[in-house]
Amino acid sequence: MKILLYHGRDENFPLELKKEALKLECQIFCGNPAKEELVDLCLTLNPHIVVIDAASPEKMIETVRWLKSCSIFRETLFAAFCKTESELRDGARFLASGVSFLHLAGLSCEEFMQDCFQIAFDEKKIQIPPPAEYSEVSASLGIVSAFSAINSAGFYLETDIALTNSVTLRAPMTGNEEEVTLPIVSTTEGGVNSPFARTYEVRFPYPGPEAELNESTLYPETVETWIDLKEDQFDPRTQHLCVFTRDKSFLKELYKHSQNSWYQVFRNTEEAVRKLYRLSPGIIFFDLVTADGPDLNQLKTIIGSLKEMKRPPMLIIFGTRSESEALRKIFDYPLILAVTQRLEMKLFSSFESMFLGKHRQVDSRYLKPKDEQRICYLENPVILNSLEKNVLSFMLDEDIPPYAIARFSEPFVGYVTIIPDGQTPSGKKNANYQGILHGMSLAGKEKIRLILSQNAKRKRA
Amino acid sequence: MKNLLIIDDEKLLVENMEFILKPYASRIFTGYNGKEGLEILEKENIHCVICDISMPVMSGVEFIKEVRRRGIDVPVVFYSAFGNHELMMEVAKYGAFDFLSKPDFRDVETVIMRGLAEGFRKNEKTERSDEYFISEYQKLLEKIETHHGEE
Repeated sequence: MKILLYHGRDENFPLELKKEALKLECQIFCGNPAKEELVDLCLTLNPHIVVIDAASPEKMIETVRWLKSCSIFRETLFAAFCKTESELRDGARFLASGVSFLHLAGLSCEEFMQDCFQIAFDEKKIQIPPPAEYSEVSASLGIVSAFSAINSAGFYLETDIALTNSVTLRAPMTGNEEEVTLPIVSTTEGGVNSPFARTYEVRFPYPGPEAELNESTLYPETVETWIDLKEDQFDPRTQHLCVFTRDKSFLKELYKHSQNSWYQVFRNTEEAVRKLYRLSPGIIFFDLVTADGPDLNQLKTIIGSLKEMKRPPMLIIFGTRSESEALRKIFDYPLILAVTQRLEMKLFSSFESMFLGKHRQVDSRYLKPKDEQRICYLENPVILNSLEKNVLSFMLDEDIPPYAIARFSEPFVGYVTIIPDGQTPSGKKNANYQGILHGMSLAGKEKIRLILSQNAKRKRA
Repeated sequence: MKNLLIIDDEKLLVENMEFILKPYASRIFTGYNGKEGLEILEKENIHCVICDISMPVMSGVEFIKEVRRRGIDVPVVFYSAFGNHELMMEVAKYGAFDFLSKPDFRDVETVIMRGLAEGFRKNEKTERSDEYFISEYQKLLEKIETHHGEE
């Protein structure tokens, strides 16, 4: 039985959801934002799909971002219910924080549920019949991406798309309204404050002493002025702390506590080792207690990664019967503190505040999850082929992974979430993709259908 | 009064250890395998155990597993040839106090003094407070700062 949680204030929408849920073996739970925290409900119910109201973005964007930073919600689909087109237009900030789908009130709830299931569950995929006609309509598709942190040397860009040596985008900190091409210096897996697949470290190409200067030359002063003017809008959090635990009651407390640092919460080591190098955490809190007993092999894997870091972090291990010195010798890692107690907030917050009091601030400034300037789009030309139900088929040269979200700005405005499909070979020129169209009105969808049918080139054999 | 138990199947090693550690413990008991060690633990009030990992009849792993199963929370220091990380991890699951390497017994006095003090504290049923962990954490933070300062 699939679980869908609606956390919002609309009275009709849950009724519609419940009607559709009967057809899909899905149970609907409703939470009232005035009375219950979304985090508490998610940790209690462990829903497969969460629908939030887009009406209160200031709090909800951060809440979704936090939930998505916990690996237990990695596969949970978040959707935003937009009551007005204005809320829809604001949707990009949600999409860069972990929401995969925007639904406008008044559109078919049956289609909404089917589309969510199409994205969320492979086994529930609805067979889309091949279209009767194919079109070839040129469009521009912008992969939703996010600036993560910035300093005077460059910034970190989080995105799903695979890039190589450079990236072309609109970067407000360059003072340039047009797209610029900037060099990439490194790539790591995962995002720090977004759920995107990769983080790219991008450098500003300041001129050297011998460089020829022209009107498009980027000077450090331009970037530094932008950073200075934006100083009080940056997120006050600068440190990353990692927590390994499956204790849901602790996570509820951690959410309430997490204004001081960026937290990444892992439940196993496989995904952690891929992200740890980029996160470069100051401390790692490891809850050794699991249902099957203490898991020292997981510790061993993590410590292997920590040893490769330039500045290995402190590792605090909770719920261990062994002493600090014993564990330091077993793992040959001197920065271990063993705590017999289980992971709990009082000691945890003492450790955190002492660390933040002594540890130097990192050089990069982080943009707040709700900051509109955090969002950017990596534009790619595409050829639209067909639209069946809400599934849009198109061709594109770039390699886009499943579940990536993109925005159409030409010849219509809307979003598409790429669905896993056997027909999406990666790396091939003009590869075929399918995605669920969302974040647009009925009139908008009709416009696309009209454009496609007016440009129909051939009928399917 | 702090009592120490030494468990090892090598008689000569046990005698050497007894000689080295005599100034630090009120009484020293000895056993030549884990089974003998268990019998002594049940009868005497032991504050710290130093135990080999690889022994016949009952190994160090089986010994500590049984000790903990019986609810005995005594600090156990293991000594063995270093590099045997799998066995070290195995005993750590049940709560190891520290490790010493054979045949070099560097630091044995310091480790055993700490072990005896810890065993005495446990005997007095004094719980470790949060302040203890915060103090240990502080020392580690200072170590990091010194290390980073040197870089």
